[in-house]
Amino acid sequence: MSKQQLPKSWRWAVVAALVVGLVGFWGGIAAAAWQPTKSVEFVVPAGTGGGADIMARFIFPLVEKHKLSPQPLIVVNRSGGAGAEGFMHVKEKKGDPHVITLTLDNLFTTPLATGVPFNWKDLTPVGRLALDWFVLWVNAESPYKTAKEYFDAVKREPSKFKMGGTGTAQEDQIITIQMEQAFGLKFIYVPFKGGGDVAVSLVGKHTDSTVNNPSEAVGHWKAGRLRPLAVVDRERIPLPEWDKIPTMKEATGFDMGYTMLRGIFMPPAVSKEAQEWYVDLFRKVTETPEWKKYLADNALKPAFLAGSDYPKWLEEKETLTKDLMKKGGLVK
Amino acid sequence: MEAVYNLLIGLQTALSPFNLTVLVAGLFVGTFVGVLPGLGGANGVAILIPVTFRLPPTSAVILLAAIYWGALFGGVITSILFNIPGEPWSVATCFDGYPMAKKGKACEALTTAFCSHFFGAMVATLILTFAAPIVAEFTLMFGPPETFAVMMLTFSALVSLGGMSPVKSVVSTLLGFIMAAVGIDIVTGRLRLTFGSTELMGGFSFIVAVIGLFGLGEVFMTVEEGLRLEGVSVRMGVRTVFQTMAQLPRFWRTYIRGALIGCWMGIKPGGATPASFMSYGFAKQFSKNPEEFGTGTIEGVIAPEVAAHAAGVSATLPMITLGIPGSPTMAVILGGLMMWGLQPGPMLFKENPEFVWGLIGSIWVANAIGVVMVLCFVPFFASILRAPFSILMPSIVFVCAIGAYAVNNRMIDIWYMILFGFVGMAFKKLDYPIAPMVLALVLGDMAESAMRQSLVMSQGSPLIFFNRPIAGIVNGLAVLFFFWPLVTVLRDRIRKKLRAPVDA
Amino acid sequence: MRKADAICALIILAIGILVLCEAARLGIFGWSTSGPEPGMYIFLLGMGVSVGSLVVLGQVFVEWRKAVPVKPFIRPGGLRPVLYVAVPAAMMVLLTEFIGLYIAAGLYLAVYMRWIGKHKWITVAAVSILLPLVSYFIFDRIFLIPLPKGRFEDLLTF
Repeated sequence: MSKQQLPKSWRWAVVAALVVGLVGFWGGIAAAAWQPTKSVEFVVPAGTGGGADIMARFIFPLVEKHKLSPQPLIVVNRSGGAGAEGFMHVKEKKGDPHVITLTLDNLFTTPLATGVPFNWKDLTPVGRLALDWFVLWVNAESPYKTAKEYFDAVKREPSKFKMGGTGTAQEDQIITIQMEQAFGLKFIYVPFKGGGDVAVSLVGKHTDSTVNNPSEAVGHWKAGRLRPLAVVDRERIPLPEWDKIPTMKEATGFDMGYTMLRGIFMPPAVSKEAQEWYVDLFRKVTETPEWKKYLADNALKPAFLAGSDYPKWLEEKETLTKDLMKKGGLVK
Repeated sequence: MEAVYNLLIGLQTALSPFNLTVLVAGLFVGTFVGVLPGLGGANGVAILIPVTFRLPPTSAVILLAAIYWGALFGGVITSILFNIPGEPWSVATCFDGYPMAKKGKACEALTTAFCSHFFGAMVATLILTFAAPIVAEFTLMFGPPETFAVMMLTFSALVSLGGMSPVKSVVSTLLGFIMAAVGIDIVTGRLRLTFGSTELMGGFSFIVAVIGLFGLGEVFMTVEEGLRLEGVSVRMGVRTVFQTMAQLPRFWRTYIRGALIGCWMGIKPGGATPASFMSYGFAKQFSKNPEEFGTGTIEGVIAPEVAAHAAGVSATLPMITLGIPGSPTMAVILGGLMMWGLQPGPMLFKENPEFVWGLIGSIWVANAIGVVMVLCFVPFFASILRAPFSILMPSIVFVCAIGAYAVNNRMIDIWYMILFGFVGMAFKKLDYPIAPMVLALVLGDMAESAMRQSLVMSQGSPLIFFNRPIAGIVNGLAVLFFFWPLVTVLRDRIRKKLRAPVDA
Repeated sequence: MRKADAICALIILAIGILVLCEAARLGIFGWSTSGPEPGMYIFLLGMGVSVGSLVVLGQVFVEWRKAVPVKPFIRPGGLRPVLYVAVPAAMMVLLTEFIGLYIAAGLYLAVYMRWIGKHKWITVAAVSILLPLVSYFIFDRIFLIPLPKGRFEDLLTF
């Protein structure tokens, strides 16, 4: 570094500081129509490679491609404590409009199971992006062609069949317990870290069945390694190929439904303008052709929901989840 | 040979002028992100995903993959020069790489590391090219009990990482396990060892601990010893690079052992980091001069590097055959695949062969170009050590702080790093070995969940670890290696006895 | 050295006891159909660490009685340079909480280079301004990893 260069870099710094000040000032004036003035922290309360993570990492380039936001959304994983770390982090960012989070059902299940002082009402709801179906899968080499046959076999030999699922006291286990109670069964529930591992353990015959989301098992199904027995919903999945899978009611006569939230939240006490901007952003995201293809490829239920209907739906969903978890003895 | 034909098409794709440019650019970015601790291939890939929209899918995946290969190369540079592992799998390379650099042999160490990397990657690519479908079937045979057995085998390498005092080695290992246990209990879903704090829910990040224990701890040690390190005299130049390369074939055993361990662990179930430790441990146990390990022996650099990179490359295999990402970087690439409308998983080979073979072709090309590229830079990297210590040292602390923060974007991690720096120094002085603690920290979680999943599967019966063929064999091997030091002692005694009459 | 060894062992013992308490809270004993109880694993870890640290303490005590000569924990005159590194580093992290990592690091680099390294002011200024600036561009701008900026965050919104 020579002597001449230094004053130059100083002058440069002064210019930069002036520019910064101006931009900040201008940003203040333009506050009426809010938009992010710096990069947005996109908190994923789950590890890399899971459903929520892949979706967030899919949204980030999508927003860039369609220039929907002046600032990038930066995905940050905070997976500790089944997502509790991420939720607490967002909760503590009170009033900060540059933080959003994408959550699954662990929004309800994690606080109930771990006793972390957190409730979804601590956050500002933005919108529901989609819903995730659950399908009962068995290995394609197993002799069970229908859910009824499989459940009968499980009934004959309690505590022999292994049900693989993601995590403990979360949606997969809730559904398993629901099945056990409805049909008088007893599974061995084996928790895994992620949905991909669950699917592979079934392909490798380390477990006997799973309730994987469609996206986690679709590749193995197409390759002829897994067989879907029933959709855990009241209607069939309205997509080609998927529509051949019967609902639980059609397969077993017992009406059973559970779909999982994929929703966006902000920290508490953010301005109305900021909230509206994000609602608008995600509405635009869900209208892109790439998003529609993504939902169809991964068999997700297109179900964008925002405004006052969203908190109402959350409320119902929470009551339902709490009820199921209490019945299953999963509430701490 | 269908594979050869497909490979040729893949190579043709990868070698088109445009893809070649993309590949070299990716390698540069990758090496760069790999060098900086805390910044990994995942960041590099994530940042370039938007760029890839303007490229055809095959070029896009070549770009992303090249970043990944580059990051694998880059991780080792700071391990050797400053004892700061740029990526988790270069931790084991610190054990001998850094002492070599301290002796003024940074050039040799770097050359060895890069060449070993190249060899490991090439073996793994061979397997990927010609045996992917078979290996995918093999992967499926690994359930929780088998995973646990492999963890046990890795831990048996601990025996050779211990220090002088057995008690302290055990304590150090257990502390690592305790740190790994902080967070959530996978089987019951309950929080443990968090004591109600949000900060602790995230547990201790391996890379933060390692930056503190190794990097910062080393800085403290150096200043305390009064070594001002006013620029180590580094022998460097192209001749040193070639001289070192000429020495390497002598260690063919270490190469082959490391490559096999790496391929296996990369595919299932451990990944690059355990592979590097396992390979290092075994290299030491089977070496004629185990006492030289840790003081800067060339074998100690070869073993972890070969294994780590064989594992790094073979980790692509489960992604393209089963749709499971083997590492965070792979997870981001997986997201990219979906963006381009490709469905990762068992159908990828059938439905998009041109894409898969383009990717495989790019691995061949990227490694060949990459190794030449980084070797050219060896003298340059080594010359960093000539900078005055009083500039180098605070800069290292600054870079460590960035690295620690960037891992999880948490302020608390910078504090942990400083704390770990002191722990690192105290442990080194009091002869608590650090390596077993680090290994326990990185594997503790995986080993515990595998063990408990197995026990859930067997309804609490530990027999599950022995009555399944693969688990039984691997566990048996683990036990054997745990007691290997005893075995060698016994063998020597028997030999002596047999020889005694002859001598008399 | 012996004193340090004993103190270290005591700290580890404290950690071990803390872990044991946590194990007790989670339930230690029993081996149900889902394998060991949740507290069992960490109970074993806590127990191992506690026992280990007690053994170390015992060894230290025995050596003390025998008065085996040992090296000092810190080389005479070695403490000062360590503190020269450690204290400013800790100060830097503390400052980061308020003024952000870049400015704190700049100050830290400048202080260390000037007072310990005795470099020329010009070198000091160059390194301590350029290094944070370059890092800013690499991390915040290119790789989009926002590093902590403390209270200055709102001023730097560009």
